[in-house]
Amino acid sequence: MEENKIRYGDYLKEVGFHRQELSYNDLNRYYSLKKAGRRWLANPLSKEWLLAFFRLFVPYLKNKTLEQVRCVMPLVLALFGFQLLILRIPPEQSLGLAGGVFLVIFGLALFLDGLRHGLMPLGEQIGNLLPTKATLGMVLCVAMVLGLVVTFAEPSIGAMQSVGASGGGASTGDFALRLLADFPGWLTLAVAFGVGLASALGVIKSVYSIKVKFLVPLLTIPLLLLSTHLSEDLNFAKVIGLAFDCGAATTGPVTVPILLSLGVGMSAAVGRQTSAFSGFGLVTLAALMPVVTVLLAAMFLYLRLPDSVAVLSLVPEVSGNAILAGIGGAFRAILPLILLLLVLLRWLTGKNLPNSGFYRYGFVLSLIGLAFLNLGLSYGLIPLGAEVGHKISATFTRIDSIVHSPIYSAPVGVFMTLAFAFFLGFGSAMAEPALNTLGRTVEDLSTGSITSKTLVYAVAVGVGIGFFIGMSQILWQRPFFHDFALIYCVAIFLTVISREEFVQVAWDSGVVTTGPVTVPLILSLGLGFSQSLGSSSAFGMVALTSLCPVISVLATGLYSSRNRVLKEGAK
Amino acid sequence: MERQMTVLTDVALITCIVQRGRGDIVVHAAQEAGAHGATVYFAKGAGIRDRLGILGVAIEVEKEIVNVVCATDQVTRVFERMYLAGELDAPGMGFMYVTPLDKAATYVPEEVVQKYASRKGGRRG
Repeated sequence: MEENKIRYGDYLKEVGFHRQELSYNDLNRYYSLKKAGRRWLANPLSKEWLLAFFRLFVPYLKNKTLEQVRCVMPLVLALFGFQLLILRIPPEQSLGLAGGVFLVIFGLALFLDGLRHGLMPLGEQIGNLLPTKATLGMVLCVAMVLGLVVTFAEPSIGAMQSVGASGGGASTGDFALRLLADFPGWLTLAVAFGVGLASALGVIKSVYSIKVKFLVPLLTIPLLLLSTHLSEDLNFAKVIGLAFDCGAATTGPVTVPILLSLGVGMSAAVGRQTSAFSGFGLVTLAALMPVVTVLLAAMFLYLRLPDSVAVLSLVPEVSGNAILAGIGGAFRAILPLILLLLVLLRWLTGKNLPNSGFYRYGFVLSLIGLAFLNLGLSYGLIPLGAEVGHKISATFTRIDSIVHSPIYSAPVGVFMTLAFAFFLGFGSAMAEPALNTLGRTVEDLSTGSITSKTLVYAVAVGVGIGFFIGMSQILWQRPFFHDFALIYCVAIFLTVISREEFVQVAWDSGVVTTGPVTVPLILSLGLGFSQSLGSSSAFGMVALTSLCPVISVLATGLYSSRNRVLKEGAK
Repeated sequence: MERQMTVLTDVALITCIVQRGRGDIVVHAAQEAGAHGATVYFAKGAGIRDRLGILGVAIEVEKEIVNVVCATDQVTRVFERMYLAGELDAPGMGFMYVTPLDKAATYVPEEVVQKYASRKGGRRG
């Protein structure tokens, strides 16, 4: 018998797909010969470029958009579904709303990717460089200014302003609404100062490694005492809610990463922190300090309020073209931050921006994204939330605009409203991409002792309960602050008895959930609901939805560590 | 019982660098093609985005590096499958290479050692 020999490699070459060999030396020689050198696909619209475009760019766009769709759509569907199934009223102007929602999704996707390419790497660089090149005093100043400017770029704060503007609070005579509608500039400025203080304090925290466990009670107890004192004045009772809301809303998608990058760079350079969680806690500070500054600003404004409304208005009323207003708002928010970061980089390294194409792309993208987001919020999410909030009371009480209200008997209607509140809160937290990221980080850092799933569920249940409590407060017209103070005391108590890691994660995770989608939605829904019931204390809802997760996460942490102690004891 | 080590020969290392989040696809393809396992770690890349111009924004700077050790007999096949699954034929999607390994060692089941170690005049370390 004759034996044929084939090299296995040759066989595979025939069976496998088309393949040729090329020496890397040849490749290198080719590129060094060409003047243009290192660029691939230099000719757009060539066949190869188009192919690459479809294989790279289209999936990239799809992924970025889908991420936001997953975050926003469940909420929007819940709102529409509630209107159709429970209230059995078709939503008004659904085409405009759908356009607005689309703008929110697209704007958020562009904005976040813009941040990823532009502002965030820049912030990280500065966070790393700053401690090595400047004195502590300088670092504190920079942190302060950065915190201040970052707040203006924060879309959640912008969203709060547009809710206030759409509430048309000036005529109602409600002091909290007037603050939001007539003095948005003052309010933002107060919040910005708060965040500035917080980031300076965060630097001190990481330099002297102060534990969050001590810092939180240290800050919150005087804050609660001040609020208790102020809440005796009826006008201020609502402002307290607004102040806590502002604090919770500040910590959105711009502030958190930029402050975090600063904080992480700082504690790495100082090198004294032992815990892997050392970057955490800064965010919590950024949520607490603005409460103080907003309260102080409100006290100041209150003294001058009665006659001098027009004089005090810092930001001129942008009437007329809302599209221009959205774009203008985006520029006002982002440009100062970009300029500040560029100046800082110049000062620290003496060099201009390296590799500037991608940075420029990021800057432009975040500008466009924020403009879209602003527009989408004021045409889509805020009217939608307000509409549902307004109509939701038709389940149990009579409303003029809805013919067959009340739709259900009182107990059923109330139950439906509160259940809806819980599930909306729960769902919005589950859909929040920031929470999933945090969950994974925590799982990594805690080497599995807190799993991502546990954390996400704990936070989502907390948010649901927070929203539930907020709605029931409006429903039974309970004063915001009494319940809030009680819950806060529980949170402080749990903080004191918990382990430092859990404390940091818990306070941060509560704050993370209140992003640029949840804040306007919760606020507008609450405002609409309270207006339809003739009460006006919708503020504090955002604060509640960011406080309750703290408790649920701390409780989960305590429960799991107790379990572990019991197990070890059994062995 | 005396502890012993079986040294494996004829092994090769495939290293595949892909964008963050795409490592699982490549690992899965490698396992389908017969690789036993893989090690993935995170890294940061540089260079490719500048080459691609505007298309570069679609490429993550953050990378995953997939390490697959496999037998020299299967290396071509695994290499091809990983290439296709990772879509490395599109610009910017990644880079991969094979490194010949001198030797490797891990747990080898007793029956395998019994069967082959004697035949090849097995080396014991």
